[in-house]
Amino acid sequence: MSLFSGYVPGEFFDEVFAAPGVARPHYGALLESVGKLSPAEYGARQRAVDAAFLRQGVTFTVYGDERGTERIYPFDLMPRIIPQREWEVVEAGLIQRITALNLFLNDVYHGQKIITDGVVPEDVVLSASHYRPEFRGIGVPHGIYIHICGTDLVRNGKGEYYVLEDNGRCPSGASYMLENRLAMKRAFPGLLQSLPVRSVDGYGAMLRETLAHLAPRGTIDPVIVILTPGVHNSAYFEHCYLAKQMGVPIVEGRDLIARNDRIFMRTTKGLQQVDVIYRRIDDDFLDPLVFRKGSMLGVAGIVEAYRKGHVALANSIGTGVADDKAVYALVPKMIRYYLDQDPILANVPTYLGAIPEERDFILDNLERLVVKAVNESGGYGMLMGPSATREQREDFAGRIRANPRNYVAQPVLALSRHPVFVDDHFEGRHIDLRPYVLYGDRVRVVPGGLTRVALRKGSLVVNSSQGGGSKDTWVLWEDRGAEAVSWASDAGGRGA
Amino acid sequence: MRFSIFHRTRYLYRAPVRDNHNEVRLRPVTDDRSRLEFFLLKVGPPVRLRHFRDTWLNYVHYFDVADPHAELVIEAQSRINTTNPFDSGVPIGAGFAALRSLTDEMLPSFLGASRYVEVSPEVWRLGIDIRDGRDDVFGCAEAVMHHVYREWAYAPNTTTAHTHMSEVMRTRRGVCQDFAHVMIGICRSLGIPARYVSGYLYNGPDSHLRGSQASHAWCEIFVPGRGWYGLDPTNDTLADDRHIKIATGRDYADAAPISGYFDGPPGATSALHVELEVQRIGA
Repeated sequence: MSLFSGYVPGEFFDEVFAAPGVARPHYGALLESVGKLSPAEYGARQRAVDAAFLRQGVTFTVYGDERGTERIYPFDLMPRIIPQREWEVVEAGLIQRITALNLFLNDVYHGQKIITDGVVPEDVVLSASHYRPEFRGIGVPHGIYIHICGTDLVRNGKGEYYVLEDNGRCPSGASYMLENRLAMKRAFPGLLQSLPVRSVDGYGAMLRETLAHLAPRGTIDPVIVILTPGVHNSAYFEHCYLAKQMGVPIVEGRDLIARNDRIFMRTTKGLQQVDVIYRRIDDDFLDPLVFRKGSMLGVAGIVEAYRKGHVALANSIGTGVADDKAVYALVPKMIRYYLDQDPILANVPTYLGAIPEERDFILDNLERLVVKAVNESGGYGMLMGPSATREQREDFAGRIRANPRNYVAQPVLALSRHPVFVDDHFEGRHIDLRPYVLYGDRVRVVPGGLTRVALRKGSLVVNSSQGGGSKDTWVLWEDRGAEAVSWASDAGGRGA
Repeated sequence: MRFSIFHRTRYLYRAPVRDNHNEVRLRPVTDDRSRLEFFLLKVGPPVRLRHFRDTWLNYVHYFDVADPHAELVIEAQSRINTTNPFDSGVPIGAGFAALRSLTDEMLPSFLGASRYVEVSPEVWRLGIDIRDGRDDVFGCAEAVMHHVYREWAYAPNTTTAHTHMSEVMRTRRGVCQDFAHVMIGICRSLGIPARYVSGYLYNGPDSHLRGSQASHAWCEIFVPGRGWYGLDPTNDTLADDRHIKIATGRDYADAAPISGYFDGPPGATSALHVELEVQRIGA
């Protein structure tokens, strides 16, 4: 009896099975080798990986949960596979999108041409709570604002990709992407080497290169640090992990000090000047002189040092305006305006509370829509209309009426599903994909990313804070021969 | 062959300039021989980018930067899949008599003198010598290519982007742009429609070509009954799947990758940096 014989794809788009018992071609090789295992053998490997994650402390923290701070991030062993040709389209769409978002931020913090030209409404953009008017007219290194982006993609019932949201502030999860790959290598030794899976191991080095590129001019070997809010932050594991991967120090606000518009790190050998800060602290807490006064997490004077160009921050300040879920709805317009192209990756249709007709539509259709607060992430501040109780819907209706600008709504998408191992068999669960996009000298996208799984049966919410788990994501060269194609050997050196 | 191309051009101005209007021809051609899979043009400072098709059907992006700025960056990224037009053979068999009955209304533009190309008695005499009584149009064009490759010296920095063909006829040296102009002039003098092609050349497996060395130019001739075919007099080779076509026109003036005008003091452009990388990628 094969591991997958009882699996029912169901009415959703299933990533693996086109029909019961009929696998999509790019899963063929994997199913051939994994499918030979008995449910008991497979279960044993899954448990071994769970135990390893717990031992190594691959964890995260759930806010507002009194039971304990740390939890392991559930990992499902069956990888999600994306064929190279399909990935190339996703990659092109992500490059297009982050390019447009950065041009938008550059514009919004300088000439605001896109607003003057009447392409996007001024009030929606400038009322975004993460818009930082203090930063208008301030130059940032290479004009780039979002250096590290985690864009959430989903597939609908037909398998088409949609962008669910852009995370241009402090996207997390890259460490799980790396850990998941290691876990796969341990659970199925030899399998990854036998298949043409594109590697993600380079992420640490790519991230370091991206950060080094920002260093103030003339710095040959820049000092880079990761600034963490501390051990109580939900992503503290990740901060440490990435610091280790890049070989850079991890610091808290109290380890840094501003002198003479420069930032120094307290070390055992005295003060050392810092050139680039990968900050995993929100704007609000970054500098008590400029933003939230009482913040103990940040560094007084860091913003002035940044303004003067003596230290670089990744991501830049004020990128949250592009993350705003009402501004999200405008991204296709940005792509057409700055790049003279149609979006490669579609947006999910979005209704804005800020627009009266759309607000009425939202209020009349709450039981069919997903309502999101524009500034929240991580699945917080969200109403899943169809599964919510009457009281929850009424509560949200009140909140929308009180502050319409703060809410958007989208139709419930029939997210694609992927087999997930439950007890002793596979069941379909909804998934999304968070690829990581790095913008240094060039835009680079790590092949794959973090596939997040809504582990609760029927649930559409994949966030770790809401009972989500993850999977390893493989981008697979279809034809391994392609890489071995012999290169043209031509001297021809008389070009131009 | 599949290629991934990154082409960044940076202009630095001594003092801020304003009202900088530009036309950009950097989008590789997609036709029955090559398929453009991805293209992105990014301009900094942020601008509203638009496009039109020019007379020669080139895809032209245009924009203007009104506010004062000290730097302009134009970045083009492409991924393209090319095939070799000569895979199905070389278009021999069309004689010169067929040239006289051509009716395409575009063709006369590619038969006379143009901004950088001359069709003088001197050029015509040289053409007659090279033709040497041949009657095959493509065979004759190949002979012209061999001749230009043999008789002209490849000498970077001896000419500029605005050097006229008449000067190159005299000095017998130049770069790909000049080689293309000379070959075009000779072909036209013989009655063969010839046009200028700007593009990229993939130069082999060590494909991290930096600087502007992979920016290339060659020419195409019109073979009656068969269409346009490319020849590369700089390398004495047929334009095959390593030649990535961007724009065509009567000469360089019609196909220049970037042309612009701004409001600022003369000589305001203090530096121009070009980064170009043509990388071969897997099928």
